[in-house]
Amino acid sequence: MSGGKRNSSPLEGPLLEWFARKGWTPFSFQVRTWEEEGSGKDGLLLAPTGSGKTLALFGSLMLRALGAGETGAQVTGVKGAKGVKKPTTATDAKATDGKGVKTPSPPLPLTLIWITPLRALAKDLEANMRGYVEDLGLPVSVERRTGDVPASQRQKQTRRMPTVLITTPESLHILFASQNHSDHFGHLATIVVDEWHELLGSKRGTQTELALARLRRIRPQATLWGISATIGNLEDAKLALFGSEEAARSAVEVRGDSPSRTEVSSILPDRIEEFPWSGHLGLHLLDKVLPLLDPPGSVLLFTNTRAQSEHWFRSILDARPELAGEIALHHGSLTQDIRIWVEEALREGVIRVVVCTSSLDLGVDFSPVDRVIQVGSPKGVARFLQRAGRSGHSPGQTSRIFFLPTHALELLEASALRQAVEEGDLESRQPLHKPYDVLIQYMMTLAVADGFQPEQLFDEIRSTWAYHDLRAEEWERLLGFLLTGGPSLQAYSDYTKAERDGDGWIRVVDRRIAQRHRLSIGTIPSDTMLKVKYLSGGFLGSVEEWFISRLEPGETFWFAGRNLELVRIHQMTAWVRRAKGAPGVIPSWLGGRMSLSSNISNALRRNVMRMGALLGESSGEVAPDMDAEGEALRPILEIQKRWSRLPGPDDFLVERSSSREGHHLFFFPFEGRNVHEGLAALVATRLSRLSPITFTMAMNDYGFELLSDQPTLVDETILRDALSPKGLVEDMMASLNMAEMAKRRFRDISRISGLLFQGYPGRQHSDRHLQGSASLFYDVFREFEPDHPLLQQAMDEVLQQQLEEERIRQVLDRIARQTIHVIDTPRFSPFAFPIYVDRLRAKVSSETLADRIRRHQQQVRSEFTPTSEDRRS
Amino acid sequence: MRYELDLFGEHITLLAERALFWHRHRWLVAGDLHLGKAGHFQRRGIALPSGSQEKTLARLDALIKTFHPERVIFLGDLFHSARNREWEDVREWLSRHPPLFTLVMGNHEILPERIYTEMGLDCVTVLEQEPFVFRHEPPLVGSAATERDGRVHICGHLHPSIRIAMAGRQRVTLPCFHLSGDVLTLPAFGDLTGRHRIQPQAADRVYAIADSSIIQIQNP
Repeated sequence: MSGGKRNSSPLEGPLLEWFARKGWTPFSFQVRTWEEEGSGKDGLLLAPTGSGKTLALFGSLMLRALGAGETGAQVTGVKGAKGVKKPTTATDAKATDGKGVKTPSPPLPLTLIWITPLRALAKDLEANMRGYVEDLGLPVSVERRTGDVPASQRQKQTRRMPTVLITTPESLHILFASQNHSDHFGHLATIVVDEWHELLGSKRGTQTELALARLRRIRPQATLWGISATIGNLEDAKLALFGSEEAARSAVEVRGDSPSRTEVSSILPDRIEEFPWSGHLGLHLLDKVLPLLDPPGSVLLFTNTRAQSEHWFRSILDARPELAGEIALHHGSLTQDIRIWVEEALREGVIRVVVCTSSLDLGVDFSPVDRVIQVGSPKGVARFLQRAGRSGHSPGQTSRIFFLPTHALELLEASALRQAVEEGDLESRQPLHKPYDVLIQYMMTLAVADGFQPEQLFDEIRSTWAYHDLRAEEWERLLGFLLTGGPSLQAYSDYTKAERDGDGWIRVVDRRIAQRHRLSIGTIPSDTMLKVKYLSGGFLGSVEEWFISRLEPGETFWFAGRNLELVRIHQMTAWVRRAKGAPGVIPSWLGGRMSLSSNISNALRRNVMRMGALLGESSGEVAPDMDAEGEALRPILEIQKRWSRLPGPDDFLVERSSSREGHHLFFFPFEGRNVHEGLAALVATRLSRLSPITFTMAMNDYGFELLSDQPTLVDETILRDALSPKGLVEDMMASLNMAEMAKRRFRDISRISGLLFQGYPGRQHSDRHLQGSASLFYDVFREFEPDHPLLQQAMDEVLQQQLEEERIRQVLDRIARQTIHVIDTPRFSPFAFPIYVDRLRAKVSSETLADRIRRHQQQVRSEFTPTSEDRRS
Repeated sequence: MRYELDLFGEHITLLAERALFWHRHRWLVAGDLHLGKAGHFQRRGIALPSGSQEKTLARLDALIKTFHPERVIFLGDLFHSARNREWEDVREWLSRHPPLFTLVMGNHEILPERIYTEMGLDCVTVLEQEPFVFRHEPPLVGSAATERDGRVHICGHLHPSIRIAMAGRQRVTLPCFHLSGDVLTLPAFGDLTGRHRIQPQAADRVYAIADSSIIQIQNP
């Protein structure tokens, strides 16, 4: 019933009057969303953060409530049925009663489910929505149901759901793990998935797809709306959200107002010679940043890692102590209280400068700042634009972002970024295809609640895009995993997880298994985190256990912008007090080793080749078309050219050098860390077939290195073979590193699928004999059930998501058309140096372990006299 | 491969199979088999494949065939946890051998002693046989047990492994025997066991197991 009765109401009704009273004018995309949703359509709203997208979808609920308030009737607004009653003057009278008289009618039943990726966002949303509801005096209750809502509150919700439930994919699944959960959704009218682009492409996205399938089976009348930022593959985003090509086609697409212009400026050093060739902190440019922090105006300084933000915060305060009180720190390991305080203080103008990480990428009610600074490569165009969008919010206004390169070569990225921004070349996010672990977890979730009927659930699951082509035999295999544990268990094993009853329903009977499952629902990998608390009370945040465990009591460390002394570690808590004296070490959280997106690496490679072409022949003269960054980088590129070569579009550069550490080979495909990881493993595996040798490998976004303690005899011909696209997948699979990488993937997979039980953080439990390491489990599966679906999943994830096999193939095809230049360099070239200093290494070997160790020991023997009483047989 | 060691005048052979043989009394010593571990996981709804236990026992069988030991000493944690169906295989395996097994009780032996005795195991908390003391957990440094009495403590419990850094920034982590002062810690014998990386002192001796070889690590 498009059009119809509802069509005119949003524009005439009390909602618009309320807008007018607020002094607002609804954006056209908001009105259009009210209309489309009100007429029962599904849709995708494309609008950036902070643009009024919440009201676009919450408005429909308000309209419904206004209608319901008038009659006291149940909420309607159901597909195919009559639309929401047109509000009349009776409601108007109530709504315009500015004194905020409480409505006598009880809140409506659960009408709107709002799924958001972040708990922090849920809190903001709740406050905003409550504000609207109270303003209008609507019979609507708004509540969150997320991990940080107290259990008592959640129990109350289970007895009576609020009208609007704001939740995360995990919390929704936890709700599905309770009995009779379908009773809650009898009046559900709308499901909203907020920040869909954030969820898409992750296992949380798959979890959302499963939840949507369930909700829509229970309540087919409900409309489904996604809210997303613009991404490179909107069609995939729609398929994953709506579940099928047909549903995606019939959904409407509403676009928010056109994005603002973005202006990118680089912060350049005065003398490139003083610029480090490698590094990631960027603090050498601190002096250039300080003036940007001066009043007036507010500033966001984005860093890529939490450690980096701590470093910057400390250095800024050291340089400008007078900023104390005006500057704050915001990152994901700080407590939510601190983060919320920072957000509010910034909004209210109490603080002016925030040093932050991706923790501030999202956020509903975020007032625009005057300047945004990005320290180091943002690794993706979309992320860069999103951060830029934190300044100069309103449509038509210009967003300004300063890019601060942390090392010389990152200057190349500056031009690449600008280019990509101009072309609007945004990254794609591929929805995941059939992750078994998420499905197993979900099957268990339903089995611990009311149980499930396999045929029916199979259909429901196949109505998601992620599992639309799940085959019956795959399904049987996964069912077998729950019922018998799989073929590798002994026939008489007393395995129990789920059981099939006489009617064919599958349920979990064992209460301890059910309890363990409820506590481990979710797909976010978590390292063991310790809380950081003051002895005197007060919770600062969390740090990874491995960092704290390196500290002795009495040692100091820097966290949450404070210098702290570790007093003791007790029950998953690091107790600290404020420390005096020199600041201690800064925790380096794992992560932050994101790879360049293909969009940036393409632009970057074009840029390098362009530089190569510009500087290749006519050195000395001023090259035309050289931008400021190129000009700044020129001296370093000249060195690169002098010591080695600047590759042009038809060249593939390989550098060879030796050092005290051994013999180095550097390759420069400029394809991003992930692709290089795969390429390095491939080339090392192929070269190690020629003679027994061991390589360790390092990589960054520009290239990769193979290091060996023996010289490698490589020439163009050998490298041509090693870089051939022929036999790519076979050789990758054969590489030892594949196993290592698959093992790392298996960690999350085994946890999500319930194989690995990590215990409950901070809780005493009787199940300590159930703890194990994923790496041990991986080996056991490899040996005794090598075709296990979860092992296959680990391999697939490595090939497709991590190494991006498709991109590796493209690179090899390109190299096949290029000339390979092997150049011996006396010293590490500017291109090679940053890779050389990277300490994170993997290895490939075709020697026996014992031989390697013996050779190593012989190498050091001269410095060492062995103990005499041993004799080897 | 084997590694012959003169330990306080006693001839000891370290075995790459992660056990040791004491020649004077013909004792075969192995620690931390963690039998029944897969079964324990299975019973709790975690589908860990069976098969590791069979492999572990087969390896022990082969050693018994080679060395014809007078006694086999288990240095504790022979069993992973409470009983489960995998125990039936262990019972059957034990019954196929003459009664030559001594179990030094470990922290994972959580059932009453008679359960183990009934299976044909001699149970002790600590086993003393000059000049050695066999125990599960290494004695704490400075505790009465390590006061110099000229005896060496042979223990399990820790599942020691050593990280070796080589040229070319190569690194490996390997199970090892660890001799520190008068305490010799054995690697875990079981196939379904984790590892604990040790940080040896300068005077310690570390014998790493690289596939089927044993190598003494210089400058551990």
